[in-house]
Amino acid sequence: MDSGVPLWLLADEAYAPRRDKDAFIDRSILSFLSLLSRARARGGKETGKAGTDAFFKIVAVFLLLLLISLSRNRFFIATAGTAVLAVLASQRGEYLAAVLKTSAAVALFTSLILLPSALSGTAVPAFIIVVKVIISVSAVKLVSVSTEWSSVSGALRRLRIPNLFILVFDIALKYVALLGEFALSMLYALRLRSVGRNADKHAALSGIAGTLFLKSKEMAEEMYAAMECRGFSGEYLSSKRLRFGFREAALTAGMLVLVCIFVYLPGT
Amino acid sequence: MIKLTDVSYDYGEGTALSGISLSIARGESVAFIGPNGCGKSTLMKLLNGIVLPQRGNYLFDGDEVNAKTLKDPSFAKRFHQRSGFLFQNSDAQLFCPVVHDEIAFGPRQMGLSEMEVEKRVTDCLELLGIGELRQRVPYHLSGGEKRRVALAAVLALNPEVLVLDEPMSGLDPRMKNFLREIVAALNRSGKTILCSTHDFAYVDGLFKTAVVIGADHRVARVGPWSEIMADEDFLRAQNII
Amino acid sequence: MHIPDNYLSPATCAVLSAAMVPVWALSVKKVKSEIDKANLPLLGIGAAFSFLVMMFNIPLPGGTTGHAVGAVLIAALLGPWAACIAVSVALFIQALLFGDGGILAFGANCFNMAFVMPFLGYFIYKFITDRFKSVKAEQFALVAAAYIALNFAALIAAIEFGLQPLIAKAADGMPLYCPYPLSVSVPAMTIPHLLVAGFVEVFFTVGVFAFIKKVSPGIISMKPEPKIKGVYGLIVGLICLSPLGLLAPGTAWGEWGADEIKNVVTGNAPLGFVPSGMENGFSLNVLFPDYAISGVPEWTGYVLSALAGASILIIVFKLLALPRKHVGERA
Repeated sequence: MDSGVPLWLLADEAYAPRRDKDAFIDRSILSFLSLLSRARARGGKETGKAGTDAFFKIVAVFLLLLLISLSRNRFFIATAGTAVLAVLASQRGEYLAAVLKTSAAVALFTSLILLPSALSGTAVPAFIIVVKVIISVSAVKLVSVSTEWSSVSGALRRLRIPNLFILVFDIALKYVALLGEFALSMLYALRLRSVGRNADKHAALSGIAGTLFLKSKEMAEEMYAAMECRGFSGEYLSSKRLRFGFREAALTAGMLVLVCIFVYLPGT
Repeated sequence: MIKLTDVSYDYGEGTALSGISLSIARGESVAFIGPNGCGKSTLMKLLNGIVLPQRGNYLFDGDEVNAKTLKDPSFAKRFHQRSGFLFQNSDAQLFCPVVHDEIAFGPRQMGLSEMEVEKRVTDCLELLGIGELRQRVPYHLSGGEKRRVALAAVLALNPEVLVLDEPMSGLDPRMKNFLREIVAALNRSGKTILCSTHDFAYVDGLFKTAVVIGADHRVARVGPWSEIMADEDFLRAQNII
Repeated sequence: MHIPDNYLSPATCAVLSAAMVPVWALSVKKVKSEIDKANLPLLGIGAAFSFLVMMFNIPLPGGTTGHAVGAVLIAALLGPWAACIAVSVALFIQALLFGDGGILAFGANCFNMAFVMPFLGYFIYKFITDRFKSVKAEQFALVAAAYIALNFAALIAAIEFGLQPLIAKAADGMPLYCPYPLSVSVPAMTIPHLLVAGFVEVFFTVGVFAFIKKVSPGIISMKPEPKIKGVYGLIVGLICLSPLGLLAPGTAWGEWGADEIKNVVTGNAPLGFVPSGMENGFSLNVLFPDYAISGVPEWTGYVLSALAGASILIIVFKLLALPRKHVGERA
């Protein structure tokens, strides 16, 4: 090969970039970064004392959400809120930070949305909705940060959800992180080459999303081949036993108390 | 040209780089070697502004590269034009439907006339020996072809510095030789070459300097390539061979 | 368009979840029968893809950006039944594992985004492409499908919101969930979707589909072609319109409160909207004085406040004790 390096590569580029609106790249990158950091910290790190069994947590949080949503009694809401606060107080600092961030954001957002209504005379109901939202979101967020993702499918199975959904869910979880990393790399590649003004921003983003889909399809085919090779028959076997220890008992007891209070109080 | 002063980076689960200080002059060709997990890839990303160090200083041609300076779009764009990065995973670097567009992407952004853009595309295609791939779909190309298209796309920006992350990985011997020749030619033309690599067999004569990153994520040694390569005891102690 | 919890009454959530059960069941059946188990990985990874699609920030000419739902795109690529499952799973992951909420409202969100949107979109797309075979027709079909389906889904969501004040009222007439009636919720949701989100969806759907078609056309023609007869479209239309049946005749459709329309925000789609620093003081004292009225002894209130106060203190201390988080990766 004769190294005919072209002249323009030999000289430095005297280049002054023009303005362009490409915030979408950065915002997408941010989106994916936070997704991936969440995916990496899958919650429930093994520290010797295992967390509460996922099944209990999921059922408990669902029940809590239902009761809060149904409740028209302010005392009940206060009780539920205090209970959630107490549970939060017993959690690790990292979880608390995540929960606080989300509930603050959601509280702000909800307040803004309800502001017009509040101003036209329904301030108290609007406030109650905001409170309900804060409690609900905090509880859900806590469960989500403190639960090992892999244990969720076991919990779903016990809830008698059809096999196909659980399988799809499992696979999806695994690939959200993988594909997410790939998409992030592509976004970085786009960023690095966005050195000026892009007249067709869509093409780049479509290219990334499109390539992501093709990659997905490719991985799906590989996965299918691997499954075939290992004699996958379509059945999904779950071997984990239901753990029922102190924490689970405490949670169950707590929920029962809450239900009783709910039923007992007037106006519900 | 490039000056790192006591740069450190950790990512929550551990340290990637610790107290890295380097000074690289224009036109040098530097290899970064070290055992797996020592932080070479992170360093490559850092040099291109994809990750930012928690501690330390990065000066690119006298300008500081940090979160603040990169927030200025003009600075960031100019920086990215002057420093080209070849990813280890070429798949992630290609997002256009056709090779021609992939290579034209950068020059078009820079506001060059269509004629100039065409010239650059043609030159890059020829230089990398991929002329016949002009209308092909990048996604469906072979590993070696993708690598060359990615390199062409980066070269089209005419960067002064080329950062290459394991450029030889996944290539067949013929391609490795070819790549070595190209990178050598680019270095001779005045480009500064920074390259992380495991592949010692195919890079003869390519690098003048070697920077060894130890398993402790620090700079273990900096010196002439031939000297370090000859010191087998050292390399063994560093888990490089 | 993602509906959070506590905006819809549990009754509404229950109805919509019940409506989804046969849809899910049918989707499973269709997916299993039409393609063999080679499709399982594809569904899972399709769900992952569907999830990731919602993360992209998409630019519009003029500088605004938005997010796409992608349900029509997925329906065009994988078929509507697979799309239903993929989007449902993606929404589930969002709700539970990322703590985005919308767990009680999961059925409602699936109804809007995993049923109405992909099926309507697919129906429109097929309707046009079955009758006109040119490349332009296909493009137009996709544009129409994406735009109409998204906006219709937004309309359905708006109706779900707007019905709340009618069907869920406290004894004193105060709203319990979404306080905005149809006259507010419909314009508030549909206008931004018609003007902005619809175009975001169109650009994204058309762009990605075109890219895939150009790069790997084989993938698209390989998908199964379920016969969408007109009757399905009718059924879909009827199901979508049924929530309106809850509407009593004679309610104020024409009331357009001008100052309410000014505050145009959508459920959960960030449209570059940055709220200025507004503090919503969560004052415990506001809640507690009421329990005397609800017939519960006063000492319980003291216990609660003590417990709440102590919890808050502990939480604050734990937060303060956290190591400073670093921002290592640059966006």
